[in-house]
Amino acid sequence: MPWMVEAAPKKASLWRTTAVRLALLYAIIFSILAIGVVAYISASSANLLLRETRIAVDEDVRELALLQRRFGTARMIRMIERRSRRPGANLYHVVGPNGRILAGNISSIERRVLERPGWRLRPFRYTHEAGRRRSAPSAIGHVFQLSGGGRLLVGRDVTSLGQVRRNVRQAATIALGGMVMTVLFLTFFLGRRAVRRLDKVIETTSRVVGGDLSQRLPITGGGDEYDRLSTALNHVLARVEKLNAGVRAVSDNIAHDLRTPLTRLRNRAEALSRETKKAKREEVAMEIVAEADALIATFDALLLISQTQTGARNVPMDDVELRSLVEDLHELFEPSAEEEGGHLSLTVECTPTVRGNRELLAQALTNLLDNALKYGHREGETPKVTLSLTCDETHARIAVADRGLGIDEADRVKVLTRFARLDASRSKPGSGLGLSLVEATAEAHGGALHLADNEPGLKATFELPLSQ
Amino acid sequence: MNILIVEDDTTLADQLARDLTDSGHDCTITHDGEKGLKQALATPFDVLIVDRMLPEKDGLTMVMDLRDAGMTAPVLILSAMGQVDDRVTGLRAGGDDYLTKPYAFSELLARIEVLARRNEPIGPDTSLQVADLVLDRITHTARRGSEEIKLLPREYRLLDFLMQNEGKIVTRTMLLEKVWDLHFDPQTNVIDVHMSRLRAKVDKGFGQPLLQTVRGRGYKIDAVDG
Repeated sequence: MPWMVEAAPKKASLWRTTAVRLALLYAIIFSILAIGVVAYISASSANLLLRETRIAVDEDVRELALLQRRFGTARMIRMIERRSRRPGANLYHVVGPNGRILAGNISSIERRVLERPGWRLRPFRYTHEAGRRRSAPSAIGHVFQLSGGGRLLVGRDVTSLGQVRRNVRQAATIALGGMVMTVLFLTFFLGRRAVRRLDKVIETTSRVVGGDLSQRLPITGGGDEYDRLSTALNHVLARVEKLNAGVRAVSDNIAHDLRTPLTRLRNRAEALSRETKKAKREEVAMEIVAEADALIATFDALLLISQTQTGARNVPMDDVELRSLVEDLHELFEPSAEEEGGHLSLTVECTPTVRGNRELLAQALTNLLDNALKYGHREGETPKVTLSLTCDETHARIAVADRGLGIDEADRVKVLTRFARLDASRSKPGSGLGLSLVEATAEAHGGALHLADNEPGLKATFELPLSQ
Repeated sequence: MNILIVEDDTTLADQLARDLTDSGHDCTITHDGEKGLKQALATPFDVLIVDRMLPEKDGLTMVMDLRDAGMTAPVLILSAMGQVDDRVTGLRAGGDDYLTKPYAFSELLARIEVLARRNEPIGPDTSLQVADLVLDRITHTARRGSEEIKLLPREYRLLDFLMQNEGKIVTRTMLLEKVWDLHFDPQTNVIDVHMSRLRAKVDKGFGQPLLQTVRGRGYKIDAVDG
């Protein structure tokens, strides 16, 4: 059988596999999301701190303003002096109506800050009394209009807020980066695994294409989709192997069974070329024709079997009235049985219609009848063959039963194989294809051929499903 | 007869033409469907033998075109592959008979001779006669001379087909087709048994035998012996 050999598929490069492409896409999307998440976390954590800072500052301002209103500016200033000495204290700055610094821990401040009361959320520059001068604007604060003129600023250095933001961002980046790396690593690993398994599949199929049909795909037993695919492909391979074995058996058989008649044919043609007597020449020529006809018949039967076996699709189907078919065949064969001094009886119990091909069915039944009349009687006896048509709800059965030697149970499967002949010497006429053709026909019609003991003799039952 | 062979295999076509010429027929050969169609339309042929697989125009299309052009000459279609439905599609396309390769030349010859007769413009005969054998096609009875012959329905159909083709050989496969409507080679002697029964009725006890066996080919009914 010529194999359709296509260029062997190239091994898949890892970077070209779907899994890896998908993984890369995931990684990119994941990274973008991660960056967003980092930004959001850092921003919101900074905002949280800022809000708490503002609440604390507002509280401070309220307390100090209350203090000033109740007990006077001096009392408030004392309180500020005390508070500004605490570690981690807020920033305090009190100026009189004339702009003179009255108290606080800030020695100088941007002028614009005190211009009006309210929150200064845009960071401003200031110099701490301890001399720590911030080069960058780093403080925010609440400016409060004191009763009797003058302003109070309570503020907070937010340099640490930026630091927090940076820290959070860094931590989140490390964590998410790790996750991206993990995703990449995992998909790379999984992708490589997938590629390796596919490579095995490709390797196996290449060997199958090379002609080794015994190859099977590896199954890990994990039951994943690769296992399912491999199992399905293995089924296909098993089927192909079986069919191929059938084909091989047939070609072996052909080689074996056609060699003999071809040799005879050749020898007779040679004899013909030597023969001088006209009458004898004619006789030999007729023998050659008969031999060639038998060969052609064998080929036709083989073709028909393979055509029938490749599927019911190839066989055009019609509604076939089995009763008239069986009666026609009985009428066709009965004289032959009588000629032998025997008898072909007919029993018809029903009038079924089946979906089928009348010619194929007729040919199959002809084979059965012919077999029964030829081989279905013991030496010295006359053929007594029964042809019957019976039905049940689902099937019609046409049985051909003889009273001959029958077929041993052990041989019944064997006779259905092509070219099988129980007569080891193969001296009786016949190609050995008859019963396999009958079986192929039954199967093409969704039916079956059953061989049974007729006690004595053989009962071949051709079973067909009834049309709905 | 004037026969047109449309067959792309030159060896086969030449062999066929030689055999047909030996049998006393005139042959014209063309090797593709287009030329075959032109030739068939230009010259009246008695029978066309058309291969199914042809270059330019396949055999079935060619036959369909012929029929569309009103050409009624009988066509025998040849096919290399005996697909189960080949015969039916071949006949539907307008072929009159169908033969699968490899075929026996005697089978082909018998078939085209019967085909050619079919195209002769004759009215439907109500009775057929060969020598003193008369078949009444209305009452389905036969008589030889003054003696009536009782025929079973199938025997009537056998005799009718043979007598319609008086003097022409009909093969066993043709009989199985025309009389039993079974289209395969039965590979058995079933037909011979039926023929010998018919012969016993038609010829036994009468002077001149009419039903003749032509060895290796088939049967014919003929008033002339041999």
